[in-house]
Amino acid sequence: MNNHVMKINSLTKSYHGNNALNNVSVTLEAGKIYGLIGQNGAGKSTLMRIVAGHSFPTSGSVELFGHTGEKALQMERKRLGCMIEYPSLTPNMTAKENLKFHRIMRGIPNKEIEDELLEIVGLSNTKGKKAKNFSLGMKQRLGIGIALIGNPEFLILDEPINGLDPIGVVEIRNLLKKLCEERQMTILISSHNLPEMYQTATDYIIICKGEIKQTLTLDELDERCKHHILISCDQPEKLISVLEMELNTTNYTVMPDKTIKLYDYLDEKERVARVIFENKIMITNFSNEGDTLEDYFISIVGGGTNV
Amino acid sequence: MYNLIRADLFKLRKSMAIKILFAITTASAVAMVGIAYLITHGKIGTSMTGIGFMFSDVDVMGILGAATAGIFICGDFDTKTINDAISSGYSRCTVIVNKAIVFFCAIAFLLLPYAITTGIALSTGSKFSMGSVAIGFLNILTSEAGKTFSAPEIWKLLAIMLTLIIIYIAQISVCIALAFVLKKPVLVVAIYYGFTILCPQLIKLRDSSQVFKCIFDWTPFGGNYSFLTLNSLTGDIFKALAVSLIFIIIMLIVTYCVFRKSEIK
Repeated sequence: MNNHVMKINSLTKSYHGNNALNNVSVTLEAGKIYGLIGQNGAGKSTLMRIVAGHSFPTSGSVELFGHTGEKALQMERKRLGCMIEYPSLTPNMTAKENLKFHRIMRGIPNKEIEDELLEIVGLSNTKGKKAKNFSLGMKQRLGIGIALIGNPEFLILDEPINGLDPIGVVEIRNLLKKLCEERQMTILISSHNLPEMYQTATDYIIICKGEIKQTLTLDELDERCKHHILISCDQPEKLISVLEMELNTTNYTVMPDKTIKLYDYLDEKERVARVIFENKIMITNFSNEGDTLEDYFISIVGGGTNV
Repeated sequence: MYNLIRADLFKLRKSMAIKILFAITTASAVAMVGIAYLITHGKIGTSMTGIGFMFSDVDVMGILGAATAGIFICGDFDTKTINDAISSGYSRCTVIVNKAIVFFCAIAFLLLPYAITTGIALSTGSKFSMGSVAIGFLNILTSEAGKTFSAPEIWKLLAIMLTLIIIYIAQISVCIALAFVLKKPVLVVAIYYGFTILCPQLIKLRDSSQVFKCIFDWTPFGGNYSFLTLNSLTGDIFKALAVSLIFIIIMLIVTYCVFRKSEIK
């Protein structure tokens, strides 16, 4: 049975000749939380906007719930909940009125859902306060509440924890996990807060300059981040050649500062040190380290920390 | 579509802007009738006709019609309501038709004070006149004031007022295309108001160019559609209605063509 919620095939999006997305292919399976990680301008929002129908691909295709084509996608979008870039709020309405507006728009007769969602996103005490007077965090909460109207099967959230206080971040994290576990909701979430993303997502999509650099599960990430030998030396190019020719491994990453992370031979550090020494490479650092998602992301995109 | 219309009407009901605009058209309608009365009865000079015309339906709707499009269509781009409708599975065509219907309801609502005050003024049997500058509801007021109406004439008057509202809606439907393309309320108001000022000058070209006359007469801006009175023939009223409805459909098609594949930020 097709368990794909979304499948993107060779998607390219160009603006005035510049590719915002370049031949992107990615598949999302049901019941997982996907963290979309990338720098500013990497193409995260463009990808989300195309899926939501706000933008059109230059080439390639989008498949939602096994259906593709403009008419079919339009039908399948009824199963989506979205909050892209900033929430869709009417400023002169209260939180409840905003929810009512979107409930009517989606044709949901159950009025009780408004109070339930206010409770879920922690806005039940806002009463007559207009959305224009909300703090950024409150607007984000309401945006998430709106996205949850109609119990969507696929939730797309672009920077949902922006402006949330630490307690709010934890609450939203727990809410997303609960939705995923209890309702088998698939969630695509982008965030600049990588430690938070690490705690929330079950799978990661790393995007850089419009290209998917890597997709990996939390287990795979843990595996890759868990342990490595960090080597700094005076001849990194020679060290690479030694690793490949004499230790027969390509399982390493060259960091922007030319340090090398070796993911093999974790139990044979002495052998690695001996081979490097025999090749007359001057080592300035040789240590056992563990990565964070942030380190791993930087190692993949090979750039600064402007995530 | 029904749900979208219901939702937008709910939003319209909650909107402070529509209440303010309604208050402005009510005050303007009263001012228009009041000045027309005072000029006719010599209480104020005929030099006030310019001021009086400023409060007339054609002048006020030139600005407020575009402002309404700015608030309810451009505003929905700002608040991402249109984005949300599309990501909720509504087609762009449905979104346009929904916006047009709700927008037309809002325009009709804003024109109600003019229809009501004109009706009340005519029922008093007094004379009202703003001289040669009369157009739209002001023209009805000027032409029909001081008469007593039979039942069929009252029905015809109501039909003319309704037609006039539809003509205004057709004229202002230009703003739908402008709002979907420009997405900036200030630009929509400026361009449409500029157009309404330019229109009477363009209409003058009808006399010198048969082609121009032909084109203009097939839009709600041309012909004598804004000068309907009880003397107008039934055929004229139907022609005005037909031209207006066709123009609205053309504007919606134009809007769809430009919005069909446009990016929504």
